[in-house]
Amino acid sequence: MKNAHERFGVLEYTKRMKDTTTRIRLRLDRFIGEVESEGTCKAHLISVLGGDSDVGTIWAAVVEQNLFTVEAPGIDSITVSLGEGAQCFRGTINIAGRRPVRHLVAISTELAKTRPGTDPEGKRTVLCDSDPTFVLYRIAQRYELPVVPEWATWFNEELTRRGMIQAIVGLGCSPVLVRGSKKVFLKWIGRGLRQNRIAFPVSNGPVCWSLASSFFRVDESDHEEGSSPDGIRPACPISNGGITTGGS
Amino acid sequence: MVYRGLPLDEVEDLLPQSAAYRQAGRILFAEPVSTTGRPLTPLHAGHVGLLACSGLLNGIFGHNDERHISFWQAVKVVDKTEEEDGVITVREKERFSNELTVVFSTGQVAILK
Repeated sequence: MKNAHERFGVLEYTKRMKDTTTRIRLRLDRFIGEVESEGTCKAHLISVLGGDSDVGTIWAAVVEQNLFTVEAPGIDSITVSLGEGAQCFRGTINIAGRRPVRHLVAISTELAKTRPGTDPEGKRTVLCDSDPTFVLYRIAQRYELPVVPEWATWFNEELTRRGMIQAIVGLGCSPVLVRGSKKVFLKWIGRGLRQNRIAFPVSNGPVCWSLASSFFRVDESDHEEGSSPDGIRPACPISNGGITTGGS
Repeated sequence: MVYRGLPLDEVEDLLPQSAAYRQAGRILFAEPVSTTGRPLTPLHAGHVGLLACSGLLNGIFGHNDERHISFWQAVKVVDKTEEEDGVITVREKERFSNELTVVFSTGQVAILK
């Protein structure tokens, strides 16, 4: 896919010490955040790319609950923090003829709690995709709901009608925040069955999900405008995770 | 004009295979566990019970009004105890438990712990 620079954002981290200021700017390919107040945001997922030391610094900053600045296409500059207990995952992307690119994915505690069986009492679920089938599947996995994929449209309508699904800030994905508990969702399912708004499939057997998550799907139509026809990338202020150090 | 930064187009194509995303995917996507196969010998009740409790036999069962969808899952439970002996000592014990949630075609719902 061409013109990735138009889809990527920038994560900036500034560390001020006694006599020096270190500024690190890394490319951000995915971001999920929830605006708390004007200008500040609770980050749920950041995925950054860069050199070994830069990514290591960002990992340390995540662990120390430091603040970052995020800028991305369609997202105004916001200050974010992942909060306490964020989980970090690191990887390496090997490209022939180049130094390996380090990759860091950091996930907030709240997003980590959506893992099945981790926090069944929780009432907020952050999801990385808004596809109705994916939403129903993840909610069902988290709260152990006996559901079938055919109920996805109905469930999405119920969430929308009751204002319990809310789009949140996302880069490269369409994240949503779903409010509600297991008790509430089970009540909806029971009522839906009694009112014949949903029905069991005709035959017995296992429940099979065909999930089409768009998390890694790149939408070409979004970035056709302004893209260079000859594929030449414009000058970019960010080099291989440039570090600027200077006196404060 | 020469661009000397990260080769973003190549990186973007390779990102889905990144080890970081592979590990984070367990949280982000919680992909379904699928078990298919033909056992060498017929399963006896003990085998079926273990498979059911593990959530590998979730699905639609029964006839007429007793038709239901079952969902088994292992959940982590934390038992907290407090002991006061001059100082308060909080002990947390983590254990795994199995829960069954059932929805009948009549709309009846039950949770068995």
